[in-house]
This record gives sequence, structure tokens and C-alpha cells, in this order.
Amino acid sequence: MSGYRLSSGGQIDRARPLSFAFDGKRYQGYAGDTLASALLANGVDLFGRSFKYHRPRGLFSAGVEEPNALVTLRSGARAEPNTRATVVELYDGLEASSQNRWPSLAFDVMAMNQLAGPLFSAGFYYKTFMGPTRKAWMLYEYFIRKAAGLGAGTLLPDPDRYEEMNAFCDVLVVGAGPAGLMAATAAASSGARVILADEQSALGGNLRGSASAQENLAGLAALDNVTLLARTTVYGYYDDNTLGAVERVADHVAAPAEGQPRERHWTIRAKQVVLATGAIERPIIFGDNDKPGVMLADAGRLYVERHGVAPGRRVAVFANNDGAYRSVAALTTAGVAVSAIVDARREIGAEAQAIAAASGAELLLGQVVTRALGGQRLSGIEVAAFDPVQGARDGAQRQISADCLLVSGGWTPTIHLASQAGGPARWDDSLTAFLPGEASQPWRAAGACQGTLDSAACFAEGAQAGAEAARACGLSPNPVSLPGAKTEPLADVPLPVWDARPPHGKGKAFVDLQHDVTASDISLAHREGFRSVEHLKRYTTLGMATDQGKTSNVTGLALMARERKLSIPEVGTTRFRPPYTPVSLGALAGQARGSHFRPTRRTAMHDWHVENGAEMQAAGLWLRPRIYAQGSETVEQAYSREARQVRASVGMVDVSTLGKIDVQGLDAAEFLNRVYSNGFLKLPEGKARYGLMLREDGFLWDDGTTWRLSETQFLMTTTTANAAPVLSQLEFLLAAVWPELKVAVTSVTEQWAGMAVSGPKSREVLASVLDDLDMSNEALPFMGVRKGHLNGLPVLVARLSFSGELAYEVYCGAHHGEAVWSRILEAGKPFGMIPYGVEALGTLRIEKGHVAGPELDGRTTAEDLGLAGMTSRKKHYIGSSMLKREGLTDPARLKLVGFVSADGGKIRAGAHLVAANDTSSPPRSLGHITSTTYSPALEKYIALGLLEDGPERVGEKLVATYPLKNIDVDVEVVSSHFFDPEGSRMHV
Amino acid sequence: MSEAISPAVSPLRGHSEARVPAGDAAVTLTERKLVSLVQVAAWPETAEQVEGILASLIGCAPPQGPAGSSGDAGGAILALSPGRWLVESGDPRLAARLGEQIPPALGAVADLSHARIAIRVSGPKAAWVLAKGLALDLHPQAFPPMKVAQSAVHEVGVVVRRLSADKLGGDSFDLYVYRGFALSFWDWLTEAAAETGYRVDPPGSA
Repeated sequence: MSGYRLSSGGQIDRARPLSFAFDGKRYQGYAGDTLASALLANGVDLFGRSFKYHRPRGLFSAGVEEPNALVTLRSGARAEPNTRATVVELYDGLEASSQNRWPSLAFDVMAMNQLAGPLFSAGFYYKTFMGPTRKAWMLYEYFIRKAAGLGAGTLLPDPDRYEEMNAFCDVLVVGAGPAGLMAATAAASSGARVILADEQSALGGNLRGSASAQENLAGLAALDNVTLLARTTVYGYYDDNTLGAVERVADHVAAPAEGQPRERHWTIRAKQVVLATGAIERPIIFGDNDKPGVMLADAGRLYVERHGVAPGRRVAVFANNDGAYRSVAALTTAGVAVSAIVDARREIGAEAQAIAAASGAELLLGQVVTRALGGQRLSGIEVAAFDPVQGARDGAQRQISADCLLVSGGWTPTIHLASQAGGPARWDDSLTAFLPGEASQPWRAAGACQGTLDSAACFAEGAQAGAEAARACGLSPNPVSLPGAKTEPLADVPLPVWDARPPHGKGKAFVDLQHDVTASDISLAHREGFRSVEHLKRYTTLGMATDQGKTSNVTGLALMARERKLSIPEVGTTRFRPPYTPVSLGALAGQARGSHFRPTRRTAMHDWHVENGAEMQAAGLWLRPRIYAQGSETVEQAYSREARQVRASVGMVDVSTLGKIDVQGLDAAEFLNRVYSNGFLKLPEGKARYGLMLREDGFLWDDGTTWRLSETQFLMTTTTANAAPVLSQLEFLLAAVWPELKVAVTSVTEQWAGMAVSGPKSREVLASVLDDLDMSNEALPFMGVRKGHLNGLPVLVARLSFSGELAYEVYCGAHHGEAVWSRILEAGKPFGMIPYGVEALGTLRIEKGHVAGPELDGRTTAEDLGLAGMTSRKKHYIGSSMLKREGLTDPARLKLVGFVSADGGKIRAGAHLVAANDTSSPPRSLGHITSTTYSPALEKYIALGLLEDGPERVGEKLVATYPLKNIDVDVEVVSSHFFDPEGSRMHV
Repeated sequence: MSEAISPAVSPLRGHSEARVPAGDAAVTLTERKLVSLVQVAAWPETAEQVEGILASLIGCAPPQGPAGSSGDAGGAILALSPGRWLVESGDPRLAARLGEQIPPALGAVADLSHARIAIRVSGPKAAWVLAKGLALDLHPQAFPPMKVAQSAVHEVGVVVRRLSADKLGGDSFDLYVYRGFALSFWDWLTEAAAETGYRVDPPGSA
């Protein structure tokens, strides 16, 4: 119980108390608190258990860099693991729970891992759990992952919405601290479209709440050309100056308001970017430096100044630079007792000395903290003399009592975005830190991320960067007045001290707190030969997990450099990858979830199908009726009944999904003649022709009928699947290959609703509903196309048959689809007309041996499918020159034949065909089954398939084997024309 | 032959009917009635001539430059790409008239009156709502009134046209959407507009 609420101060609203719960216990905080500050104010210092050793952990920071205080926010479907308590804004009724502990945070059984601590060094699991087989690791891993880890997510569906937003601007400014504010102000003065984004709940960065920042922000907010985005993290820098950002629209409330998204993903396309991303303080390593109560120095200041919370009652400070003295001054002003200031430097400036004196703390210069003392929380520190060359001295340690230790090892500029869009980071010796490298995209850095830590200099640098960015957009910025700021007397230039332990120091010294990587793990990695920083990272897991090593990377590099006796820049740094901080999957998915993952395409008769009991199935994005089941019919019973009724009388199927392309122009016939493998030049007006399209390599691509509506206009149909690719190909051919042809192609798939009326009674039904068409065999012969009217609505009627029956396709304007469909069915009532689905459609075409998608699989030629007669030898067309290739004319190619089940068993699509007497294992495949159905006409299971020497094998007995399911069916090879091979039924 | 009831059915039937929200409505959505929508393509050497024919038939100026448009609710010409236009008119015989005036020697005429639906999105937050799906810069400087773009919202192809602000007294966009995707698009649009609140005006009222 060390932290407490100060009686005054902080940017909190003491008139608005908020009630919240952590691990089921109720507390009170104020509006303006974070979960971390509110718990600290309540004297809570245990926040979680560590990743590997389950050591007790407290607050380490006050921002996104937090490695320790990870909690699960909310519960049930809204539970979100691994949120950082330091950035969770407090709201009334907030519920959070600690992670990686059992049965409770204070008493965690797995903490016994600490006793075995020396065992769990880097690579321990991989070295230990190696056998007896490769599969054994899978078993071990399950238990290892259970013992180690972070919070657990929920499997319940997320009740909230997420959104996307596309934004464009001249200048994007990332970070709204001193530099960012001035950059935005300067850029905006030119009239540039500016977006200013900051991850914090309010803009201003270190100036948050100050009068000058409020005034500046109010000025920006009043401008039409400026968009201010608080709670928005720019997490990734991508090509073409596109940046990804997440706005937490309603993460700071219990549940989003009606219509409000929880988070919004922004894709920002900026002409110029100013990176003003600031810097993150880093610690110094010493023994047991993870004790709750050890905290970054600037975090201590922020809790006092921003939230009115004292981080402890007896605070000690450990520093190697002047920055920590700002925290001392803040604590002193707030009346918090500072007991000791331990500074590794032997001399400090006058300003720091004055602050130390005013605080009343004991000032220990040339000394370091070697170890933290205490049980579940800090009770004191051990201090020893320090020599810049030799390090800390063994022995003669002095103990000082403290319940909070504020540590400052200098600053690490936040160069993540710069690294994603730039060259290698530059090392700065005086700051002992990496700075942004050369920009490979149009950005410029300003302020602390550029290594500028002085406020006045940040203002000037920000204003300059903003003005330059505006000028780079061709705009003229006005001079801006910089806020009055005196040059900072405190210099944050650190004395390089990374590991303050004496040679025989006690306690674990953590480099990466989140992943429990210690200084000795880095030594071990070095001894085992992992010298590259990339290998070091992967072997020790240093810098991984949710914080991505924001407080540990540079220290880790320094320790590796020490081992290798190299300088830090010689060791190098790993490259930063997006995201800067974790991004929820919801934000990335946006509205594309559930049934909206992809859009759905519906035909004009969709509602009718659904209302009349159709079971719908997906065909690409389309939904098509599969069957119209009656009562408790199975799928097979339903499609058999539907197919039987078509052959007995008449039925109708929705064929609107077929691709339809309007081909028009003086050269339309010539164009089609080059695109199809069979002739189209002499197709008369008012006639349709079945056409084959080949790929350039000679293989079959698509098929369909094309109708000549006039001398210069054709209506091409394609398969449902190839509608868009065929259109693209035709447009390409016209634009790039034959630009001299006067032809225009337009997709009219959506213009026409199409229905196929099939069966011996189809003529009678249509004759009774068409206003003005003579349906006789003479007036409308097979393959004839006519324009007419049905109930006054314009229709196209084509006499085509996919079923082998007398059949017609009726096309009408899509908005009229439902009316025409209903009218025809009504007229068919006396004949027992039924709607049928794509299953029956398939059955009817297989019975006729017509090929479809399963046979046109991109590996078959026209000859394979018995369509050699449709590949003209009198003309050139797409694919013709490649048709004579050896591989395409090989007599050993598989050929299309039919199969009937000899033993009554159901034949599976994909089954392999093998000789009945083949006992080898596996038996040699002679071919495979492509399409199967129960044939109500033959009262047998039948199939189409591709078979070696197919036509020559007619009459042979084979086995269709499906080893995945252990299904063997005896089949007889037959002609693929199962039913009415003479075609007598459609020519009536 | 008589048509007591119009047999034409919108794919948004049951969805785009008027709706007045209890709270704020920063956008208004209206399914427009498309009487005639025709795509016209010209050959490279006849493009100017065809554009002239379109302008005189519709009774407006030719669209300014590619991706421009001209005209109003009575009739409009949208330039889709060089030598290709989308023509809208209240004249049910538009396709036939265009076919008569633009013979194959001049170009090609394809009737798309049933292939698209049209939705008007207007109001102070219209651009904000559309930007949730359109990866287009909708700032008035970049996408001024009468500008046309072919783009996609969540995998659904759309033609977008910004209307002139002065006549309608606010920001307004017309979207032309493939008929088969209409309901999916409407679902997307109403979800995207939920944040700001939206009102649906009766179909055909815009």
C-alpha cells in the first residue's frame, strides 16, 4: 500500500467520482484517471504475474510502453485480454481482472517457477522437451503454453461494430505533443488539409492540459482544413505514403452508443507526413529490478501531475541524466517525500542540484542502485559506488528504505514509423539512442523522436517541419509564433549505464520485463553463438510480445554489445514492423464480418425462391436455388422428383446467373469468330449457337450459347463462374490485340433475368402466355431466337436445351423477372409445372452427357471431351496455334465417358477409376469421376468421368475407389450420352 | 396487355421504404426511380460526334472532360471513360432513340435500365458516410460537383456522381449499383450511416 491520492492537483475531475472493480474488488476513481492511476491511488501495487516466472509485477510506466500491468478488460463477449492498465481510460462500472495467475493474483501456484528459475533460461523448452518423437513436442507445448503466457481471449462473438474510414490529406502529423502541435499549426496556416492524430485520450502530449496547448488546439479545431484525431494510434507506415491508424471511438466507455462503432480503422493517404512521435524513457538494469514499486521516473511525474496520485510514500530516485529531476521537482511540489536520489554521475548541473536540495532528499552522486529489496513489493534498495569504467563495486552496499523507486536511464526516441518507411536507424552517441534513418518516403521527423528533448527546440523544429511539409505540397505556410518556452536547463543526456549490478550482484536482472528475459539470458545467447541481433531477438524472445520491447530493446543491444566487445551501432538494431501497438482484429475486419464478409448477389427471383421453400446455395457470390424440397424429402429425393417432372411434363429453372455480354459493332461477328473455336461468321440473325472458348494455350476455357440479335448485335452467354474473366479477356483483346475492330462489349448480366422452361409441355405453356410469338416448330425452330412480349413486357425467347427436352430460355428485364417467372408458372399449373433447382439442372445435363464446370476444369481439351468437331481447322482463333502441341494430341490423354453403378452404390465425384483386378497398393489410377448424380430416367447412379482410352473401354467393368472414405463402387463404362442419345425429344 | 399494377420490382423492395429515425439524421438515403439508363460507346474517331448527339438528345452541355458529367434529374450524361458514357433519362424510350441516332457506324448502345439501381445519399454527413467504403478523396476540391468516378464499396462496383450543391442546397451523391448487389450494398450503407443517424425518403422521391 504505497500509492495514494493527493489532496489536490492533476487533470482529473474530482466532482465526478467513478466506481470500478479489479479482480472483483470495488474501488473508486475520478474522471480523467486511467485504470492504472486509479488503482495506484487506491494503494494497489500488484497488477499481474510475469510471463514465465509468474513473479509479482506492478506498474512500470504510464503509457503504451507498459510491459507489466496487462489486464483483461470487461467480461463475457466484450472481454479483451492484454490491455495495458496505463492507457485504459476509467469509466463508471469498469471491470478488469488480472492475468496469468491461479488461483489468485496474490497467491499464484505457478510462482514456484521462480524456484526453478535458473532452469528456465533462453531456449530451455526447446533444449529439454526434445523427444521421444517429433510429435512429443506437440504434447509438451500444450502444457508449456498453459503455464506461460498472457491473458486468454473470449470465443464469444463480438457484439460491437467496427468501421473503416478512407482519409486523404496534404499533411499528416503523427503525435500532438510540442513538436506535433506546432507542425500542424504551421502546415495548416498554408491552407493545407492537415490531419493531426495522437494515441492519447486528449491531444497535447507533454503539454496536455496546459493553457497554451488548449489555445493552440482550439485554434486548430476551428479550421475547416484540419482534422483532429485523439485516441487514434497511427500504427503502420505502408507504401505510397499510406498509413494505417486505429481510432478508439468507444473503447473508453462500457459499451458503444447506439450506432457507434467501437473502433474505426483509418487508411490515411497523405502527401507529406510529419512524425512527431516522441520518446519513451528507458530503465537501468539492477538485481530484482521488476519488484512492484520500481517505475520509470517520468511515469512517476505523470501520475502526480496528470492524475493527482503519489506513486509512493517514501520515494527513491535512480538516474543517469537530468530528466529524473523533473520528476523530483514535481513530487516535491506535490508534497510527496523523496528520500534519496541515486545518480550514477559524479557531477550534476546547478539546476539539478537545486531541485535535489529543495526536495530534501539525500543526494548520492557517483552511486547506483544494485538491487531492489522486498517481498511482493519494494521495501528498499541497495546502493553501491559506481565507476564509469569498472562499473559498480562489490560489497559495501548500503540499504535505503523506499516503497517506490523512480528510474531513468535516458530516452529512446520512438522511431517505429520512421523505421518502417526509412533506412537503417542512426546511432546518436550523446543520447545513446537510435534516431530515424533516411526517409524513403516523404516524411520528416521533429521533436523528441528526432532526439530533440528540449521543449523550445521541439516547438521550433515542429514548426519548421510543418512548414516544409506544406511547401512540399506546393503551398505557402505563414510564419507561426512559437509558445514562450525557456531553454530547458535540465539536460537529458545520460551517462551510459546499462547494467548497474556489481560483478557478484544478487537477484534476477530483467531486460525485457514482459517476456522475462534477463541479462544472463543475453550472455547465454552470446555464449551459444547467437550474435546477430535478429537471432538474439528470436532466441531469447527479447523485444517480442505486446509491448514489442519499447522499454528494453536498446538495453538488450547494449548488453549484447558488451558481450561482443563492440559498440552498439556495430551490433545494430532490429527493424520495426507494424503495428506500433496491438491492433484488434475487429478494427482490421471492419464491416466485413459474418454474412457481410463478402457481398451477396441475388437474382430477380430470389425472394420468390425463398418464399417457395428453396434451399439456396452459393455459386460464387450468387445465391441459387438448390432444390425446392417438399415435406421431409432428402436432397436426392427432391432433385429426382424435379428432374422426373421436367421429363414427364414441364419445369422451370432460374438461369439469371449465367454471364451475359452484349457484343456490338460492325465487326462483332468477326470478333466472335476469332474468340470462339467454332465458326460464328455465318450465324444467321435470330439464331443461337453453342460456342467453345479456348485459352491461349489451347485448353478449354468456357462455353455458352451466343445469340445473334441483329447483323451487328450479339448476346453472348458464359458460365456463371467465368462471367467476369471472359468480359475482361474480351476487353483486353479489343484494347490491345485487335484495336482495329469496331466492337464494344458490355456486361448485361444484371440487365436480364433468365429462366429455362424445359419439358415436353414447355411449348404449350409458353404459347399460352406469350402475347405475340408463334411457337410452332416451323416458326421457332431449334436454336431459334425471337423478340416478343409476355403480358406486354418485352422478352427474348430462345429455343435451347440443356436438359435434352423441348426447352426454351426466356429473358426479360430484371425488374420484371419476378412477374414473368410467376406468370409462366401460373400458366403451367394445368401441366403440373414445377420450379427446379441447380441439382436437378445438373442431373438433367449429366443424363445427356453435357459438360459443365467439373469437366471444364482447365486441364481438358475439346478433344478430351468429345468436342473436337467444334475446333475449326479453317480459321485462326484464340488457342488454335497451340492445339497441335504434343501434349494436347497425346493419345494417352484421358477422355470423357459415362459410368453407371453396377452394384447400386452411389458414385462419388473425385473417385479414382481402377481396374477391378488391380491388387497393388495404391492401385494405378486410370482416370477419375467428374460429375455424379442419381438418374431418375435410368433409375441408377450415373457419372461422367475422364478415363484412359475412354471410348475404347465402353462395356468394361472398373472400380470407382474413394480411399479417403474407403468407398469402392463397381461401375460399368458407357457412352456419356445416357439418355435419348439421338436427341429426338428436343427436336419436336 | 394492360398493366394494372407495375410489374417492375426493385431489389430493395421491403428495405428502401421511408423511415424516419427517432434521433438525429445527418444523412438522407433515397432510392431513385431509374426510368432509362443506357451505356453508349463510340469508336475513337466518332467520340466527339456521339457526345454531340447525346448532348442534343438530353438537352444539356457535354460533360466537362473525362470523369465529368452534365445534366440533372431530367436527363444526365456521365462520362465513364474516353468514348464511353452512361446516359440517364426519364424517357422510357431512351435506348430506342439512342439506337436510332447512333447506328453501328458511330458506336454501340446498351440498355442497362434494369441492370442498375440508383441511390441518392445527401446531407451534411454524406461524404463522411461514403468515405467509410469509398477509397476516393471526396473533398470538394478533389471531387467537385458533377464529377463521376467508377469505384467499389466492399467489393461492390459503384458509379458515383456528386451533384451540384447549389440546386439541392447541400451535399449530395448519386450512386449507381449493380442490381444483384443492391441489397448487400443497402445493408452496408445503412450500417455505415448508423453512426450519424439516417432518414430514408420514399423511393422515387429524389
